Amino acid sequence: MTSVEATKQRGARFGVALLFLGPAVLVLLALVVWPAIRTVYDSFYDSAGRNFVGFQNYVDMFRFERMRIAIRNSFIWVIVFPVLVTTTGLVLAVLSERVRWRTAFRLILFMPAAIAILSSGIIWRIMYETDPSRGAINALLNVPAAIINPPGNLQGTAPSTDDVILGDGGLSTTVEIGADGGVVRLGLLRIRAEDLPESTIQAADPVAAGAGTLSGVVWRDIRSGDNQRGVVEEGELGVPAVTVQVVDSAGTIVGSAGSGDDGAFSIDGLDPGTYSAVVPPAEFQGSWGGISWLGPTLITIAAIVAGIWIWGGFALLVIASGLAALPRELQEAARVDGATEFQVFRRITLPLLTPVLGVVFVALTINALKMFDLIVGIAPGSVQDEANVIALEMWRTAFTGLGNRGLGSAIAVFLFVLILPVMLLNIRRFKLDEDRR
Amino acid sequence: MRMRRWRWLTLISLLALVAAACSPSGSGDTTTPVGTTQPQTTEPPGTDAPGTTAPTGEAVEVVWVRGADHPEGQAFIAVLEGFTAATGIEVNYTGLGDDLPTILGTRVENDDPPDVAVLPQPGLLRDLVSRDALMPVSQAVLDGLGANFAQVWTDLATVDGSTYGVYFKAGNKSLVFYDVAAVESSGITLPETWDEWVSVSQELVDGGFTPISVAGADGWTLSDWFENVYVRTAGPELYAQLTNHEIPWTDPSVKTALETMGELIGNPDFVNQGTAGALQVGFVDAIVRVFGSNEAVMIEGPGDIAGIANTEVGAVVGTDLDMFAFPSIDGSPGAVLGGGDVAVALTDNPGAMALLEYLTTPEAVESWAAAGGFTSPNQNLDLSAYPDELSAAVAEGLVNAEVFVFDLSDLVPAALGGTAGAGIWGQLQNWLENPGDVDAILTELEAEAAAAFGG
Repeated sequence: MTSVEATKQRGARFGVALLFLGPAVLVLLALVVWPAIRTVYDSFYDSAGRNFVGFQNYVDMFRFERMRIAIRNSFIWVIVFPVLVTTTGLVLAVLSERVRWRTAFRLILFMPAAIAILSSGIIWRIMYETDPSRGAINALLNVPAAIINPPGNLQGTAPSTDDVILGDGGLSTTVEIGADGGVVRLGLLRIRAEDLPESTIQAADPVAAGAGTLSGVVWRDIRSGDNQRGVVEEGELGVPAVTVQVVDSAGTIVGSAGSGDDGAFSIDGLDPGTYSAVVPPAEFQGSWGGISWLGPTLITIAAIVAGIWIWGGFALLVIASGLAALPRELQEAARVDGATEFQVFRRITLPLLTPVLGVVFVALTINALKMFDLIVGIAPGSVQDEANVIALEMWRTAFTGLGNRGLGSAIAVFLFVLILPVMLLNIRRFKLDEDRR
Repeated sequence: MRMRRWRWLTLISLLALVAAACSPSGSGDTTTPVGTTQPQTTEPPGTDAPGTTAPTGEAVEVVWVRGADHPEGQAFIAVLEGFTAATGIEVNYTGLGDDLPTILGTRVENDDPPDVAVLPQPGLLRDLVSRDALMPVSQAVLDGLGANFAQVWTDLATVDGSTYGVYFKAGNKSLVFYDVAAVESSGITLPETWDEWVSVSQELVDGGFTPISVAGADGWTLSDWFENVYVRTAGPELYAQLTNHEIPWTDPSVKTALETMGELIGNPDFVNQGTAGALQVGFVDAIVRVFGSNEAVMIEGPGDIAGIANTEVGAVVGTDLDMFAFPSIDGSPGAVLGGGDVAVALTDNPGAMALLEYLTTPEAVESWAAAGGFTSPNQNLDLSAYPDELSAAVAEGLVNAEVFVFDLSDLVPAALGGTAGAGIWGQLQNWLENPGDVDAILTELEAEAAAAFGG
């Protein structure tokens, strides 16, 4: 069909076209064009939309620390997020070409894109919880941590008297073995009665048991009401199954014993002299606390990782469909000429894929700029300032409390201006694509 | 074949582009109705008392936060039905949700306000007065307020000498809820003074318990803590001055309060997950950690905690959960920090003022009190109207308080006292992360306060 004929036909059908396009144009005008104009208009007015303030909102915008952090974070998002997601998508697309069940594989990877972004944010917020008993990610990291340093039975406890010291060498105190033996009392605090074994009974106060013997007790040195520290009182429970070592001044272990249900232990065969009674540090090894993913320092990184999970499948699908459309002859020819797989990828596949990668990259850049719902879902209230991005700051300014509509509109316009060049680039690319055809 | 694939690709990216292009410009203006071009004339507030005119039978439109399907919304509708039964005036109710301030602001601007609004924040009342949107209450309403309420409630609804609303629903935020089983098994005695509270907390730590659950992720819980301490260490006069920014946040009294507060929730041993860890614990989560997973023994907060603990983990008042009043500090008189919902009239519809007058009577809210989860500041509402001893005790503490102060963060501009992660909430969160750094935090807070009050 020549272009002259086409123009004629178009002219003849203009009325019909208008009839069909009319409603769509009206909707577009009412829901896109008018709000856009109104937003620009509002951005020159004060918070209630009454008084004209000129460019004041645009100046005010940059005075707030919150907005500056939002701009910085949006910048990080734009730089890091499209690159990571496109790379992830490319790697997954190329690798999944070789997988037998690639449709199922790609479907699963695409599934996060079907979840509302706010929900994804909340899912990740739960997975990122610091406490390894709550957050999946720290729970996973806790597995090796617990193997390397298994938490001890006495973790979190503290000695009840000043002469018993808890340090890197474990719990220790000085004991004297005299002519009729010696006595040691190791009182512990910060341990719940319920956490002791069922068999635990009233602690037994040690008495000297004769030459060469150290008699001691490990016990929970607390009871309700009148309570004396360092004294084994009625109502205080023994702490069973604690290993106590006797170490001489040279650091050699000369004896060891475990405490019974009443917390009592005794160690024989000691020459008179001065020793240390030691509970080894392994008993006090704390459990790993977990990484504070959602704390102020890591929150943006944590959110970007969640973003890769959400958008990686989208990038994979688009790039994979681009891969499928590539002419195979060139790759085959290169292989026949003896190119390695990596060379084929690097010199043939990648250059041919560039337009597709560009499309994905631009779409992701726009997504990064208007990032909003993911942050709302993932960031606890206390780190919303540190996780802030421009679109979120716009919403917080315009719609929390009574809202500052003028300033919020100004931020919206600012965001639009940032997105504009990316959009124009994309439109130009479409035109080029069409011309090429 | 090849062409078709490319066409699909183009379509996908076009869709992405359209989606991207629509949102930034569109989302900034979602609540403004299309074509808002009427001149913004606001009727001057009526000087005569509209409530004294006979009801015309014109239906009254009432808005509040809760939806009609929410239990609280239903309880409020029951109150409105009582009004219709008593006066014959029809009422239409709409629950606007958390967007109430925004929707109300837009409707006022478009000269289409509802007749009566129940405002969840007093800051809104001031803002609406500054927009000339509220009707001063009639003499009959003033009489009702005088007969049934402490003076403080009238003062709270008064701006520049004119009273604009009725606080008929209140919250007592000076309560400490505790896990009964943990308190019994640890053998502590409930504290009546701050020093006892600190020593009891140490006792709990020694016994292997974590005393306090703090919902640091929600900044308002920290401002409630601060306000409770400040009104006790500085007294109600300084509290009022700080509220109005007549003294700066760098005032020594503020530092004293923060340091006092630090003795308890600035001590990482006393706070579940440690002070910095508590920053990621939300309000409901913090409650569940006391009454569900038993990670901590006590939680400070509003009366809602009992209801939430019951809904979330089935904690039963009396057997699983009980409360004590926020302890006094250095002999300070019994003080209650509170919040409230205020009903205001936005039109001269006579039914609107009649409804406000009705809400000053104890009979109006009896049904709501009986339904539970509700506290009335009305002194003449019999405490037997409440469904259980705990809610009666909460209400008694509120109406009999020697000192009653309103939640400071609700009274200051929203930029300072009502924005997540910013202002008082944000700076107290910074403090919780690093409780030693009082001076730097107060300097920053003062800068934010100056900006909020100045602009």
